[in-house]
Amino acid sequence: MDVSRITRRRFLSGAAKVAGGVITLGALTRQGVVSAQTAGEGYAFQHLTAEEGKTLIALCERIFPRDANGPGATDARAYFYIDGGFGDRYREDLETYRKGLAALNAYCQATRTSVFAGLSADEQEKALIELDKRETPTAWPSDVGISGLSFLRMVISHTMEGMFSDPSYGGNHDRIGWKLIKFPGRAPFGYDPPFGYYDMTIPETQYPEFKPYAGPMKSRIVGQPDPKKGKK
Amino acid sequence: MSLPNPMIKRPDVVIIGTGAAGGVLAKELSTRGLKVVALEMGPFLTTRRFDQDELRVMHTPGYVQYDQPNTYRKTATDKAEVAHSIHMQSVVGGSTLHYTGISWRLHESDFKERSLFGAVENADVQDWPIDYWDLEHYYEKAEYEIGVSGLAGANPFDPPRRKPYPMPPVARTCSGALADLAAQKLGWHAYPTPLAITSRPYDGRPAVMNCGFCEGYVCTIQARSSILVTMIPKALKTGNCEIRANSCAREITVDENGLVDGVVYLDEKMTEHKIEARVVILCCNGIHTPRLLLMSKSTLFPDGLANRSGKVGRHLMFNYYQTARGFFDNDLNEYKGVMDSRVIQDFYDPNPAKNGFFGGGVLEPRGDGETISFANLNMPRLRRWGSERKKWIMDNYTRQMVALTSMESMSQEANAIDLDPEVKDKWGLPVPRVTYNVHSNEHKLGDFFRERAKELLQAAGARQVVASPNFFPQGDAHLLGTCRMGIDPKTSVVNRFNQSHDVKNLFMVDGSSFVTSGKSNPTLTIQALAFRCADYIVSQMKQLNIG
Repeated sequence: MDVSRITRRRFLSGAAKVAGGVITLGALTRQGVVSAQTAGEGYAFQHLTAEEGKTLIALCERIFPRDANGPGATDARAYFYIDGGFGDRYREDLETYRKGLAALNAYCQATRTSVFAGLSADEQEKALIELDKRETPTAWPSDVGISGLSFLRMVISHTMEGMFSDPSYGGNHDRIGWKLIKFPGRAPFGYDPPFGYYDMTIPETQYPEFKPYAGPMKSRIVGQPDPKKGKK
Repeated sequence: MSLPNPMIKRPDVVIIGTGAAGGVLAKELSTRGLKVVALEMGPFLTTRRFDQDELRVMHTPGYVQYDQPNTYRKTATDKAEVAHSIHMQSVVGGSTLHYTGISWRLHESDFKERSLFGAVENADVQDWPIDYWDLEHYYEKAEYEIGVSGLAGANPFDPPRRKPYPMPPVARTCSGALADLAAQKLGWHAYPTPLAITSRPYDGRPAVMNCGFCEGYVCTIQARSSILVTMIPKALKTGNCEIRANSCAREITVDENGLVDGVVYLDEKMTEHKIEARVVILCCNGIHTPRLLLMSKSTLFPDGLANRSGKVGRHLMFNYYQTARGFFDNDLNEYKGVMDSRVIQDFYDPNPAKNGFFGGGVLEPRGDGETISFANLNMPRLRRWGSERKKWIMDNYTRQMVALTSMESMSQEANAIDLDPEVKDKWGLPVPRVTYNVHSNEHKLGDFFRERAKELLQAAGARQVVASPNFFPQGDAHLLGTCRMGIDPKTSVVNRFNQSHDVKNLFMVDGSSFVTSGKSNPTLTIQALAFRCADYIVSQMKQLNIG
């Protein structure tokens, strides 16, 4: 299934109505394979500009990359989850995102040849490793109001939510995140044991039979003297 | 299905808070014919409102959790900073809506620790004014009325009991099975966790379905024996009880004789109301009960209601805890089943002379099925992002468990709740200020139990064990000791029946009356105290001593 085409059709149709920009289509496929980088193209961001959106998609992808082990953040539409969140749970984070994404681009331009999305995956990773430190590098703009590390941590945690939250929030598309970790999702009717390998293989302990206590109902432990009684 | 909620204009009793204790008292007193109004600062939600949605339940502040700030400082000389360190639910049913449900009884020794183990330096450890046998009958009552599953006789350290649990234990999870294996190897005793969760249909509710959305979630089929599905419907059915949700109590008023005569509260539109009552019972958790007393200042009680001792809010205790996480070769699938199916109490009463520290604790091996939290887990030498992190999440999500250890906190007078002089909550009321410094004994206990947690996971065959670092809690879900129970009115706030020493028609029933913290999981004891207090209130009203 061509993920990018569905995304494009679904979102281009609403593009005129929304405030944000539309990402134009670049080289979409190479030998018929949709690359993770392009899967987010065509999505009309509701709250970010096209340029900001492009940076966010690239950043999410580096945080949870498509690789030999399976699909990544772009496939799961983590960017869609985060963008939707700006109208709701992340309303207060929108400005921080704007500034953070701009700062990330400024940082990459100062230390490298291009904005973040224009760098190779290797270079993107190197840039993020530099920012994933207590001391923010000097090339990170000082007027952002958030350190490189804090910004990265915030996007990481939102990306993970976009990977593993219920698909109804827009991320975890096609339950991609859940399939990767073998989590079945909601279980409205529960499970029957055995649940896994260990409850199946480790025998249940044999416990002694319960004998109801029939002794005196009095503590076997002597406590402190009652101060009132002491005064009498 | 909506519950009837009658309007009660002139109540005999006003209960503030509808959680573990408030719900029990509302049911007990209304079934005996008293007119009861129960005020709850949070909303009244029905089971259908809740779902199996980690993002919404676990990662949305204020979903049902108490979301107002508190402040925290380590010692009285520090400036308190805003924190969100109080873990409780503000909703009808209180924190029983989402608790793990572990429901064991305190041991006989818990009530007499001072006598058994002696004093602790820089702490104020005392005996309770009651002992185990004052509560045994009420423990039994709570187990049957609330609905607790478990296996009597399985724990060799259990205090004496006259009846088995009303339900057999729930299905063992993989973390429980691994605890069995480890305990066997180490010579410890793992036993099925007593849980306020049904293992078979009980009292009109279905048996647990092992869906795994357990601790922290609200049970979608009412298998968890929360107050919302056990006590509240029974209280409302009497026609004698009204639940007033979204009603935040601001002050308890006193008459010229120094008896309480009513409660002033704010409704959701911030309109102030006063409701009169013959008896007032505070069941607002160890945080809000002392806070409300301290907010209720009058000429007769210039330092706060029922505070002639000056001990209201003092002796705050949590249950200090330490954890280790173990990673295994095969699937545990801890997203299935209850959170905690085995407990180990071999270190409940360590001997201070032998070990060099006071008190003890328990091991609660458990599962953790949260996905987002797991993906964001802080791991040594592993980046929080990138291919390596992705592979780690994929390899380990179904193959890990936590060995939680929970232990005793030392009662210290300086650890306290009072009113923050600056910060206000959404009702315009001063937020609780937490002053809490960990006692050196707690660190010793923590070190000891962290090693036991690691030992358990290693004996269970974990390929990797990661222990949590030592930490300073700024708050907790177990909030205890702040209206201490005692015989002497100069050193305690309530008597042996949870009645205020200073005001005889005022009762405080919740974790605040605990003299010692126990090792963990105070809820069953809170419920037993509430059942007992209800009997006492009825007998006192019958004799015209109160009301």
